[in-house]
Amino acid sequence: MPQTEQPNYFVIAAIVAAELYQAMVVARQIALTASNARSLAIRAGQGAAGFRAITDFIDDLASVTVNASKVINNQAVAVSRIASDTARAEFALVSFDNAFHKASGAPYLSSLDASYQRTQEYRDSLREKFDKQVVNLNSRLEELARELRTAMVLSAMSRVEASQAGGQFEQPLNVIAQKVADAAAEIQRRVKYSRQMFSHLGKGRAD
Amino acid sequence: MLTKQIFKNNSHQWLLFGRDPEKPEKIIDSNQYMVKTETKALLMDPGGIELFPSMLANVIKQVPVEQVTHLFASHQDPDIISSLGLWDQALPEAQLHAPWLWEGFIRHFGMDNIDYVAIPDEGGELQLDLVQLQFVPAHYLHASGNFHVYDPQARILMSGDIGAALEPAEAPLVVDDFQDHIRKMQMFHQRWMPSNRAKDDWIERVSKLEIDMMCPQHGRIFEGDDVKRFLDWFSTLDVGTAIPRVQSA
Ligand SMILES: [Fe+2]
Ligand SMILES: [Fe+2]
Repeated sequence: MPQTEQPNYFVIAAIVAAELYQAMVVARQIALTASNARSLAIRAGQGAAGFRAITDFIDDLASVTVNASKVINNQAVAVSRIASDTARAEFALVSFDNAFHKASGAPYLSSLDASYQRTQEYRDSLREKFDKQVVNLNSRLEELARELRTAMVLSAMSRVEASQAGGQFEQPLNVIAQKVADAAAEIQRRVKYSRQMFSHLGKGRAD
Repeated sequence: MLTKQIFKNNSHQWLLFGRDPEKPEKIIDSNQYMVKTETKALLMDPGGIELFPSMLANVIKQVPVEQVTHLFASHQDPDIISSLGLWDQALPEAQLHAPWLWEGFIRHFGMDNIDYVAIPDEGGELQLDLVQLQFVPAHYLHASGNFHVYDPQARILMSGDIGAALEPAEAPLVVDDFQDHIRKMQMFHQRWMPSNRAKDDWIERVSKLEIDMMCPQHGRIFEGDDVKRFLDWFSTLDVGTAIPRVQSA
């Protein structure tokens, strides 16, 4: 089981945590955009009533996204931690193995067995925990991806409502619609990338 | 890695592990010591992470691994104790005796199972079956929290980085020509040791001990009169030399 061929679990989990952290930052921008949109819609008056209604949905979407990415980010950090502990336990096992070979014929060679077995059990329990957490994380990522699809719908609706508002408000409202679409697309990209990273983990497990 | 018994009586045994031919070239060679009593064993300055497999292999040639009940770290350096994260998995019931000052730092090497027993600045004692060992303060030599281990029965002082020499890994284990050995020690002591005041304090304390063997963590063991020669030489040595002296007019 050469170490170099093992996927670097803890690095991947850390990358996912970083991606989700960035997703959370972008989601916060959506929240800001939603509040700008609301004040603009209020100034635009009756013509932008439809748009004003949409800002509530944008708001909801932003807070759902912020919360979900926060939770997923924390989980990914926890997974990264488990993966680091696993790597340490693996390293200990490799070192015990190494010592075992160097000490062949030593009078107390078998006294290593208990340490080896204990560390192996510890490693296995970490792996099990890791696998469970990854499945959990994956389903949360899927859920978030689904949630984000509504962002595209909201953006399209915003465009329609912007043209209803007409006049001087049409252009800035369109900018807002575009911002929501861009932010959602960026979060989608990060979520998709994270899911790809995790799928490597699933396939790459070397035992 | 070589194992050498350096002392034995009815109650215990001192062993040196070192001169590892498999050691990666660029890491400093180090001596690890073990005191083995009837039911216990203490590993002193158990070494760096790179050395761990060789160390563990040599230890189980001497004792069952669970007999290693105590570890000692003179200070926090990586060549002293960066193997801790691995010993922690091998010896979950063991205790680590180390300066209180470094607890928060040494734990960075990874310690989930082993107990940290903090040695107070004034030092302390450790009882292993019939053997009583003393932790002798050697602060600022070179680490700001630092201890040596003295065994009054064996008259051995494990002196950490004091008495260290930089020389090839295949060098003999015992100093055979003190005058010639000086050139291998001088830079190490002048550059790594920061304080003449700390040095004088340590020399005064150690001069009161009866020492047949002074065993440093690098280089060679000093035996008999060479211990006194070392103390005399060290007392005249100006240390902390990376800071230029102020010229008095
Ligand atoms: Fe040191
Ligand atoms: Fe050292």
